[in-house]
Amino acid sequence: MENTDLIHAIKDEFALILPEKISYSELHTILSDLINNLIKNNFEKLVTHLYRIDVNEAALKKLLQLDPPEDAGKIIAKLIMERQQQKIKSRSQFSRRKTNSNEEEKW
Amino acid sequence: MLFGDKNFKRELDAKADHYNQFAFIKDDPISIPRFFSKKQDIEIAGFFTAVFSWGNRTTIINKSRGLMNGMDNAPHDFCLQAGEKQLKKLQDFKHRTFNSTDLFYFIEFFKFHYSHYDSLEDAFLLNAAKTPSYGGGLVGSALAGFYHYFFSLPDIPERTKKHIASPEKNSSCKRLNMFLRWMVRQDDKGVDFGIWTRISPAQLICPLDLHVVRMAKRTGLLSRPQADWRAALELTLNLRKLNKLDPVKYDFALFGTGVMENKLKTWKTLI
Repeated sequence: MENTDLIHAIKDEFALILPEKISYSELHTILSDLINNLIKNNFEKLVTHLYRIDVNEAALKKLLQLDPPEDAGKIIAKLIMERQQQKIKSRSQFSRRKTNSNEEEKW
Repeated sequence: MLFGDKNFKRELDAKADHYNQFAFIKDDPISIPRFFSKKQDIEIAGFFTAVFSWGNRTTIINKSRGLMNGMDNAPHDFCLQAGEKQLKKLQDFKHRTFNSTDLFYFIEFFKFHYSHYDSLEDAFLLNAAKTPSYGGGLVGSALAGFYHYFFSLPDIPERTKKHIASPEKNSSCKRLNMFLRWMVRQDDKGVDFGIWTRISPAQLICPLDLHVVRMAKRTGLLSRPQADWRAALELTLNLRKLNKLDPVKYDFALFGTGVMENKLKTWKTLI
């Protein structure tokens, strides 16, 4: 898996010990299990993670209603990974533009 | 847990410590000024972000970030130097009711102010000594004085006035109080900046977010029904009884607990 930033973001948020190289689907499986565990044993902690990560509530609601037989852990894990990737992309664009604007001579 | 209970302060302190952490705010609006290191960039980025802080936080962050990009990620230089061509890039900017007419006035104000002063802190303190405090001490005078200073340039668009609150109008000044908290409070947690030194944390007024109001009423810290300036003063006065040097640290406790309680309810119905 090339996106080491995503692995780091997930590691940091959930205080997980993960190998440096791990596939997207392996990461998804690990995260799904963790989420299911939190649903059963520490729902409040899960909600804190979801708030901090800023997972889209409307999207989650829609997915859970569309596909109720699939376990919630998998759905939430997928949304978390997508949201983290989105943030990594937008932060890197912001930082890149910031660096460019510092280097370029402005008007 | 009620204000006046034996363990109330201890519990609220614990909650404030729990939520006054970088991990809790890394995707909150304050993350926008955190991208900058120059004092004036932090002030301008923080000010715009605070003014935009109502509604969905992803939108607030995206709009604030978009505006900073439009200012070449150097908002201080941009405000001082932007000509017609550069400003044109921002003519389609819009965030809820804030449009480019408002934006251009804000930029004009920053250009005027930073041509005369080094920090935005001066904009709050210039008129403070000769402005009534509305019961809010230095910060009350600073906010009311800032409103008049901000709108002292020629050709003020009437519509822009709604974006800057003032205790003179009995507004709780939620977003400006939040901005002042960011600039004044020094928490060493990577959250508040603490880059202003002429206003002390003890003088700050608590921002009245809706979660804060709900939790403050429930715990007996606030009795006033309206969420206005007087309510902000009542809450702050009670918070000062718990910690007179840093009363607004409890903003984290009340906001964090309130928002989490709300989210818990929502997610329980979903999962």
